[in-house]
Amino acid sequence: MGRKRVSNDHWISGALIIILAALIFFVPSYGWDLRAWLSRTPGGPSGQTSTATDASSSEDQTLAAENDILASQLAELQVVASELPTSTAGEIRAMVYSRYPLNFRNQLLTNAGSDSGVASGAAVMFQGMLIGRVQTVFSNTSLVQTIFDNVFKMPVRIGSGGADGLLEGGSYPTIGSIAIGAAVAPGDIVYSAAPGIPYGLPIAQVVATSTSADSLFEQATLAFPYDVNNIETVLIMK
Amino acid sequence: MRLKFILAILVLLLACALQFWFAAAGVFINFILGALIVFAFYFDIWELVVFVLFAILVINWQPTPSIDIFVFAIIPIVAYGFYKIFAWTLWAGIPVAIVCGFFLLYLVIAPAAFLSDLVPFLGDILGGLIFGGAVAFILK
Repeated sequence: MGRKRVSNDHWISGALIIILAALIFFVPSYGWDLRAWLSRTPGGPSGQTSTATDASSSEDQTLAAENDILASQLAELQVVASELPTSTAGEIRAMVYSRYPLNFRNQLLTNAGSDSGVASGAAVMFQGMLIGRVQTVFSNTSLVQTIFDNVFKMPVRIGSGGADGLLEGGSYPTIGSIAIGAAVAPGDIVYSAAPGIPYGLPIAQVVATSTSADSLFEQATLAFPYDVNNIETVLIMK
Repeated sequence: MRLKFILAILVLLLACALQFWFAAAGVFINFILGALIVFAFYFDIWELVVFVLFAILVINWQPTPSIDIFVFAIIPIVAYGFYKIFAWTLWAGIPVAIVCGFFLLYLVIAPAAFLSDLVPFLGDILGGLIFGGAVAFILK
């Protein structure tokens, strides 16, 4: 009797293994949907609650982002007005399906892929700020490496002086390799200056500067007007 | 199916929800891996594989397999193997398996980041031990 029950349990386990394996390999979107459902906080959708405090916080983030965009545009005009792109690149609005689940990387999976015209290396924006670039493109989805990924690196420029620096990703991204004596101050806007990405996209604001451990360069810590863990939609530049 | 199996599925769903809620707040604790390692001490290999595959379905973040997910999946299976070979007692085996499992995860996936900053690793282990202890108590 007990032996028969064990045998039945094994049959059920076997059937479940086959079903789950099929879902993982052929219809992973079911897993993303389940994950989205589990990620919802008791007060509402993931990353959003209905409280007035959070609404105010969201509004503050938007205003701070707009402020950074304007400052970035000002910096661009002062330094490289002649080099500004003359045409507006097309954008693809995409929803964030899923995120890297551990703390070793910072990647987002979006619901726009090569079928929608997404190309590898494309800039990815949120509220007008550059948050990363497309790392891998699939037919219906694309994987975005955000600037909060530990191995993310990108040449950038800083402030109205256009000082060069290297954005180094991580939980707390920093700018390194800034020449000693460069005109970089707290409040300066950091913007993109990398090949393959439109010039002058705002990234962050400098909070503080210091000298690197080897005393050869300056480095800067940054502030961001958004929380990358709560991003639900992004714009991918064509 | 046994009641314990259903209970384990509910625990796994709770672990998933906790992991995603904490991650949304910028705190990364591997509740799911902690739960799976504890399951290795309470279920047979076929049931454990079901739990592991269910966890992979939920946490896999891209359409193609990755080394990260493979390592994540193999750790509870290895814990099961060690438990069967060395016949650890639960009170000693579970904490040791959680610490070793988390250590292996960090060592294989991100050795450089792990060695440069031990705080996230230690916080992860502490969270995993607390949650794993609670899961073991529930399944006892």
